[in-house]
Amino acid sequence: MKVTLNWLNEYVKIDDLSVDFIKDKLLNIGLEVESAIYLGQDIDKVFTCKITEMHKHPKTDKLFVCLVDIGADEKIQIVTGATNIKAEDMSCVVLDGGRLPGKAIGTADFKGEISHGMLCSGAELRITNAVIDGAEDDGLLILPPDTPVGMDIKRFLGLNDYVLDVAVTANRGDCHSVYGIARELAVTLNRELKPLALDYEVCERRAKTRQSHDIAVITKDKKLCPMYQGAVISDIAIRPSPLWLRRRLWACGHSCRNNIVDITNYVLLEVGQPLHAFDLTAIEGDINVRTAAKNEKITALDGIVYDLDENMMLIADDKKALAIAGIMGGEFSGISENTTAVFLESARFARGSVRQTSRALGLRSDSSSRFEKGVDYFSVETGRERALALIDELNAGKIRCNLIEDKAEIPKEKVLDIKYAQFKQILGINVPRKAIKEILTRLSFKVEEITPKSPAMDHPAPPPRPLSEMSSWGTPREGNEEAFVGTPPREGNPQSSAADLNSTLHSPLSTLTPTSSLRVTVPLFREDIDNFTDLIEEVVRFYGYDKLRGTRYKSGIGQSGGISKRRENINKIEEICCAAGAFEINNFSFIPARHLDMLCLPEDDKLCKAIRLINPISEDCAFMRTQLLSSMLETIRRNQARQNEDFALFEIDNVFIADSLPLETLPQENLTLCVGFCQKGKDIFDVKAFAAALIEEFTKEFEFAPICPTDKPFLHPLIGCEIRLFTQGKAGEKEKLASEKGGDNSGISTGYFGKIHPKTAKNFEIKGDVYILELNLEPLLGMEKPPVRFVPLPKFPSVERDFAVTIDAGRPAGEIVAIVKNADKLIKNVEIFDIYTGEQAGEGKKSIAFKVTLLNREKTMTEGEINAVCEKVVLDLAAAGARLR
Amino acid sequence: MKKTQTSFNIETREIFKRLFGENTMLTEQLNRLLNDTTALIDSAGDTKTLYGIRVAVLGKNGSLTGILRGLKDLKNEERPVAGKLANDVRETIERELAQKEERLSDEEMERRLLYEKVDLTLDKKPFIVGKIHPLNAVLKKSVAFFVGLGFRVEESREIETVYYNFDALNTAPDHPARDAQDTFFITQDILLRSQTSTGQIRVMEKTRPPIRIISPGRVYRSDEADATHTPCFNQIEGLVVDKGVTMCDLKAVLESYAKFLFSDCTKIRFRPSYFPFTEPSVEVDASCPACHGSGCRICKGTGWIEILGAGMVNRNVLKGVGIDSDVYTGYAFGMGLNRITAIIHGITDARVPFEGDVRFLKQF
Repeated sequence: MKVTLNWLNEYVKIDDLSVDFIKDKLLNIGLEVESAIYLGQDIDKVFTCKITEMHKHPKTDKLFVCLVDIGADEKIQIVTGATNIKAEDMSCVVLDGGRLPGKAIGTADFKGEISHGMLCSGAELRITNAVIDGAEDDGLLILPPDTPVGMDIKRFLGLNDYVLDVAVTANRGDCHSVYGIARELAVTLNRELKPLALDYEVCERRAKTRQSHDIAVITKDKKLCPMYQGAVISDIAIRPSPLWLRRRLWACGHSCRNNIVDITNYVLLEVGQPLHAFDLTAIEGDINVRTAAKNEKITALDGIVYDLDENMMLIADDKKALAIAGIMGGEFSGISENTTAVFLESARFARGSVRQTSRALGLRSDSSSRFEKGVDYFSVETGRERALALIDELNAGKIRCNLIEDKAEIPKEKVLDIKYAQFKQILGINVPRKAIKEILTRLSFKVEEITPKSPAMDHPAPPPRPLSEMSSWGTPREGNEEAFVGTPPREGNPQSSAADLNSTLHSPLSTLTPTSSLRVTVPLFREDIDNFTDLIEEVVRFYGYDKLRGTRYKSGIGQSGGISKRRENINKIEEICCAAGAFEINNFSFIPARHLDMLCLPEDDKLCKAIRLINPISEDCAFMRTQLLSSMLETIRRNQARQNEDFALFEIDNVFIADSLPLETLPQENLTLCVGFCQKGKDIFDVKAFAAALIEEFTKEFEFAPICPTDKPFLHPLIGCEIRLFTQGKAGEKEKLASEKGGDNSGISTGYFGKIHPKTAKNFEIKGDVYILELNLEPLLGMEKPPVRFVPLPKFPSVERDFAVTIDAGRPAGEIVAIVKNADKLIKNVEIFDIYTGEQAGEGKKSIAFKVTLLNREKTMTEGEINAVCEKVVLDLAAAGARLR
Repeated sequence: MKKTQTSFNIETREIFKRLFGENTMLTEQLNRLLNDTTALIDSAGDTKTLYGIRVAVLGKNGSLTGILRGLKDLKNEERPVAGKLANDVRETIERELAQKEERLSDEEMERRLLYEKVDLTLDKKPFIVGKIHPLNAVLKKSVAFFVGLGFRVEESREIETVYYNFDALNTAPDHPARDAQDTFFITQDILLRSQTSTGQIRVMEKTRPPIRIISPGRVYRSDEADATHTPCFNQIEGLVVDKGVTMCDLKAVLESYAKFLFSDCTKIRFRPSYFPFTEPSVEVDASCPACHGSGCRICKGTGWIEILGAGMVNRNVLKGVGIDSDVYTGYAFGMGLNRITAIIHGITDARVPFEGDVRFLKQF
C-alpha cells in the first residue's frame, strides 16, 4: 500500500515528525514500511519560471537564449537547445548551484552567451504525464499558464513529500487505505484523527427526463454481493483533475485520466473502496447484479472479449452486461470525453468470488486486488460519500441522487466480552486497565466495564450504530496527559506477585474469577476481530511487545524431550557418508520429465510414475523426484563442467512414490540416500565395502544380489548389485536364501549400487567412471537395533591354513568362500588373497588362493583336529568341482 | 674408556708377574691379544667391523677361543689361575665390544634418522572427511538446541492435503495465502506443504497436552529462484500447548535460541504481524549479528533481521483438534532456516547452496 506523508498529514498531523520516526511507529504496530522514497531527492534550486524573451543564439542555430522570470527583480539569462518552448511559456529552471538527479548545474558559457542555469524537462524531474500533461514528451517541461512564478518546483509538483510503501498484513483490509493507516498512526501517536470531508449538495431532481436518477438496483445473490450502492450525477464536465489530486495519484503509482475516473481512484487509495463510474447513457433500464449466463461474453475496458461462466458476477442493465463485478468495466459503459451523466457504483462483492473470477479470466485490476483483500460495509458507504463530496468540491457534476441501494441485512457490530485477567493469561504480563480501555477506545472500539455476574448473552447488545453516524467516530480524546503512548516500560511488574503468577499458571481460563470484564463493541471496519485474543493483540500492539519479559523455561519442566530414533539413525548415516569422504548436497525436490528418459527408463517403469505439479515454476521443476539419482548426476555434471574433479557427494531426501496417478491419496514419502563417487582410483569394490559397512550399522540380514539389467538400465549391466534386506528376527533366512539359487523373490529390494552405464553418463554429459549407491532408508530407519551383547575375546590362539584351488573361470569366487565357510563350525574366516588365470591354471580355469582361519574358543586345537577340518574343506570343494592345486 | 683400559692393564700385568714371571708365554700371548683386540675395538668405525673383530677373537675359530682351548694342556696347578686369567680377558673383550657396539649402533641410528628426513612442507593426497551441508548443519544444530530445552522431534509429511496446510490452520478458503501463486498444487486437494505448521495439526490430533515439539523439514513456495528465494527451503516449527503457557514463555525460548544461533549479546524484538493460525501473531527480529544493531548492509541499515514468525496458537486451531482452548493455551513459531544459514555464513545468493558445487561444500 503506497501512501504519501502529505496525504496522511491531512488526517493526522505528522508534518513535525521525521520520516524515520514515523516508520518506526508504524513498524511497532505491525505496519512495516518497506520503502520510503523522497520524491524530491537530488532536486535543488529548481523554480517555476516564465520565459519572457527568447531568441536565437547569435553564433549557432542549435541554441536559443532566453530570459526567464523567477519573480526576482532581474530576469535570468538561460541558454537552451530545446525547441518545444516559446516566449510567454511557463517552465522551470535550475539555477546555478542547483541539482537534478544525477547532475549538478552551474553557470556555463555557450559560445559567448552565459547561461545562469538550465531549463529542465519532466523526465529530469522524474515526473510523468500523470502530473503534468506532456511531461514525458521530449523537450522542456511546460507548466500550465496559471503557474505562479518563482515557486520551488518541489512544492509546486508535490515533490517535497515521501512515498511510503507499507506492507499490510492479510487480515487488515481496512489498512489498504490512506485513512486506515492514518487511523492507526493517530492512535500510536496519540494525536487527533481528522474526519474525512463528506459534505456535498444534492441538487433538485429534474422532472421527467431520463437524464435519469430513477434507476433501481437489484442484486440477485446477496451472498455474492451483500451491499450495492449507487449514485447519479448529471451535468458532468469531463476535464483534467486539479494538480493536487493528480500529484497524489501519481505519487502512489496511478495514472490520471479525467476528473471522474481520477476521483474513483483517489477514493480507492484514500478510503480503500473500489468505485466504478458508468456512463449513464449506456445503462438501459435498471442495474442488475447477477451471475453471467452460460456462454455470455463481455468486452472489457482493455478491449479484450472475455468468455464468462455461471459463477462469475456481472453488473448488467436490463439488456446487457456492463462490467465484470469488482474487476473491470465494459468497453462501452465507461467514461469518455462525451460523458455528461454518471452512475457511480460503490459495492461489496464477496472476495472469494472476485478472486476466482479474476484468476479464471487471467484479469487483474486495482479494484480486483483490493476486493480480494476484503472490503467492509463501512468503506462502501464512506467511499461513495467521499466520492460525491469530491465531485461536488471539484465541480465535476451535479449530484442528482446520492443513494440507490440494494443490500442484505448488514451484520450488527460484534460485541465481545473480555476479562482483564485474560491479558495476563495470554501475554504473561498484566496490562494496566487504563491502557486497555484507552487503546481500544482510540481504535474506535466502544468499551464498557461490566460486572462479572452478567454473562454476555443475558446482556442485550447495544444497538448498532447507523452507518451515517460513523463518519465522525474516530475523534480521540485530546490532551490526555497520562496517555499510555510514550510512557517508558516499567521494570518488573508490581502487580504480579509470585502467588499471582502461580494461580494464573495453573488455573484454567474458565475458572478465573475476574474482578471485572470489559464489553467491547467492534467497529464495522474491523472484520478481523473475532474473539478476545484479537482484542488482546489490538491492545498489545499499541501497548508494546517490548514490555513482555521472557519467562525462562517455565512450562514443560520435567518433560523429557528428545531426538527421535529416526533422526538419530539419519545422523548416523550422515556420519558414515562423511567418513567416506562424501560431501552432502541439497537439491530441489523437483526434476524435469527428461531426467527419466536420460536414465534410459522405459515408460512403464515405476520410477516414471512421477507426481506432476499443477503450477510448477518451470518445466525443469515440474515433477516430484521418484529417485535421487538424476539430480545427483546433474550435480556431478555441474561440478565437472566447473572443473571440479575427484569428489564424492551424498544426499538424503524424500522421494515421492504415488500409488496411482493422478494422485488420489497421499503418496509414500521415502527418505532415500544417494551417494555418488567420482574419485580417482575408486572401484566397485570400494562402493561395495561402503554399502556393507553402512547397512551393517543397522542389520546383518542383507544380501547383495546381481542386478537385473532391464530393471536398472542406468547401471552397467554387469557391474552393479541390488541390495536386499531380510526381515528382522528371522535369523538364518539369509543362509536359506543363499543356498537357493536365484531366489529372486526373497528379501526386500531396498536399493542398489553400481557403475553408471556409459549411455546414461553420456546423457548427463558426465566424464569418467561414476559409481552410485541409492538406498531407501525407510526400512533401516525403522529398525530397532538391540543392545550389543559382548562376546568374550578368544583365550586360545587361532590357526591359519592356506589353500589354492582351480575352478571354472566364469564361476564367482564367492561360491568357494561360501562352501569353505560352511565346511566346519571351527572356520571363522575365509579370505581370498590371490586369483590367477593363465597357463598354469589351465584353459578356461582360474586359480583361487585363500587363507582359512580356524578358532576353537574352548581349547587349543590339536594337529589332528586341524587336519580333520582341512580334509573336510578339500572334500567339500572337490564335491563342488573345485580341485586342490 | 681409556681409564678402564689402563687400570685393567696394570691389574692384569700384576697377576701375570705373580704367577708366571715376566716372560711366561701364555701371559705374553693373552696380554698381547688383549692389547691388540682393545686397539682394534677402539679403532672400529662401524658395527660390521666390530662384528668381524668379535668373530676373529671370540668366534669358533677365534684367537682367544684357541688360547682357551690350549688351557687343557697346562699343568693341573696352573690351569685354574690361567683359566681365570683367560676368562677375565674374554670378559674384558666382551665388555669392550658391547660398549663400543652400543655406541656405534646409536651413531648409526642417528645417521639413519637423519637420512630418513622428509620435507614436511610437502603434501601428498589430502585426507578428505566429507561435510554436512550448511543448510542441514544449521537445521541439526537448531534441532539439538530445542531438544536440549525438552522439545521432542516430530517430523511430518511434505505432500499434504489442503486441510492440513490451510483449513485446520484457520486459513479460510478465500484467504490470500491460499492463492495458487504461493503454493504448489498437485490436485485440488493435495499440495506441497507451504509451511511446517502442518506438523502442528498432525501432532495435536494424536497427542494431548502437554505438547512440546519441534517439526523440522522441507517446505515449498512457488517462488522463482533468485538471490533471496528458492522454491524449497527448510523450516523448523515449534509448538507448545499446556496450561498456563504465555507469550512471555515464547519470548524466553526465542531469546535463548537467537543467542544460541548468533551470540550472547543478541537481542530480539517482537513486532505485530498476522498469521491465521496464531493470535496474537508476531514477527520476530534479532539484532543484526553483523553490526549488533548499528545498521549495516546485511540488516539493510535497520539493525535488525527478521528471523521467524510466532504467536499464541489461535483458539480456532485448538478447537479444530479438540483441545479445550479455555483450559489450554499454547505458542507456536516457525522459521525459515535457509535465510538464517545465509546470514550466519554470509551467503549472498540463496541459490548457491543448492548447486552442490564441491568448492562451496568444502568451505564448511
